[in-house]
Amino acid sequence: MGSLIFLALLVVVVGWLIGAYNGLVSLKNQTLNAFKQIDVQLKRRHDLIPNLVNAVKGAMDFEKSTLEAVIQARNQAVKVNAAGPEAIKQISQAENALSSALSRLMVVVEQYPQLKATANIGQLQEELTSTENKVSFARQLYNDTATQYNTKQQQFPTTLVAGMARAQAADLWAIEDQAERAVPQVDLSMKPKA
Amino acid sequence: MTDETSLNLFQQQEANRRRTFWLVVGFVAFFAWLGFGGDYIYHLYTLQAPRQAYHHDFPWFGIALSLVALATAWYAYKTGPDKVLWSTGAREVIDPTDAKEKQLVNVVEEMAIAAGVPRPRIWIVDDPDPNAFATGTDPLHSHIAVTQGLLDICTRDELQGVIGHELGHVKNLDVRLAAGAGGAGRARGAGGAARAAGTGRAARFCWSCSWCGSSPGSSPRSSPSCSRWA
Repeated sequence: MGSLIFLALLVVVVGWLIGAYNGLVSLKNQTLNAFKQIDVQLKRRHDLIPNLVNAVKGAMDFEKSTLEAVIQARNQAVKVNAAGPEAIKQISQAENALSSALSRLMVVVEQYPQLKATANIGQLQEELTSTENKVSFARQLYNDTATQYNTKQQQFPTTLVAGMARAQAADLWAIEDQAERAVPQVDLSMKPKA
Repeated sequence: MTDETSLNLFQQQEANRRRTFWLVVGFVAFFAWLGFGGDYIYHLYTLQAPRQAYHHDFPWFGIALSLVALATAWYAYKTGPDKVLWSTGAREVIDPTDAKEKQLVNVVEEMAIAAGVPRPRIWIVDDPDPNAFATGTDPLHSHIAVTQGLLDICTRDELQGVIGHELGHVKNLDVRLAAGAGGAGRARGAGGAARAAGTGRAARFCWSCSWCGSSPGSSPRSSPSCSRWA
């Protein structure tokens, strides 16, 4: 009788071990996959930018510095991305710099209605908007998956298996640009403007 | 019953899986009941018949009807989404030509990334009424359809809200339940008495699960025509 209970306990413990181990491995791979998804979208963005720059270059001779900032940020991002997931901090820094350079360019484009009216620019703008959204949604998905993975490895009792499954905490994407983190000033006093 | 809104995603998926299962079981059980009931009545009827006359001893009706019901349920489940799309006259967007279609494809791709599901196939229904629906059996075989009217009046942000909502149905497996219910309801023609029960239920399921539209992501300055039917 005693040995039967012991055997049943052993089966339960081993079953749980296998389940927890496999669960961690599956989450780890999901996290890696989510990271690759960001890569796919970033690559798309890098490929799109030269087209955009070419399309607006002729009409925007006087905004050279804005264009050059975009090209530079793009080249930097491409370079850093080649380093792979280990360089996640640098990648996110470079991509954030590219994001702000692009949004400055878009603001400039808005100021030239005749430029915006060109079908080609409208199309490129749509593609760029979509790509920006895809990048941020892919990051969101990565952060969600990585958080799930991190939580699982830290929680008891799964944490006992974490070492065996060689689980390591995954870094999350974060805002590096301090300007983006700043709280926007909102005036709700409803005072009529002078 | 638990309040639907208090369930998380996995509980909702589980609930929809369970409901689909019981719907199919109930559908087959009903046909089995009709068939075996008929067998039993015929058996009693022929019990007193003369020796050489026919005696209904083997439940042919029940077995045949149960098999028919199983086949129907399977067929409806497999082809339900195609039938739904066919009945609305939707056309698939494969190679988007104009700007609005391209935008729709982009928005669906974005929301699929956000939801972490494969991109569903995209359809446009040539209807001026703004509406959208999702159908399919699981996230790998799913479809999202919007009407031309929706494309015409919605801004990009509003469209994103609608598509996000529809993808929620895909991820929650609402579409599977709707496919099962729609299939069971459509197959009701085979059994007379099933008609009343089947129609109401399936129609209600289809209405509440498939057809809907809302724009939670829309800006406060959104066009009133797009928010009205939310």
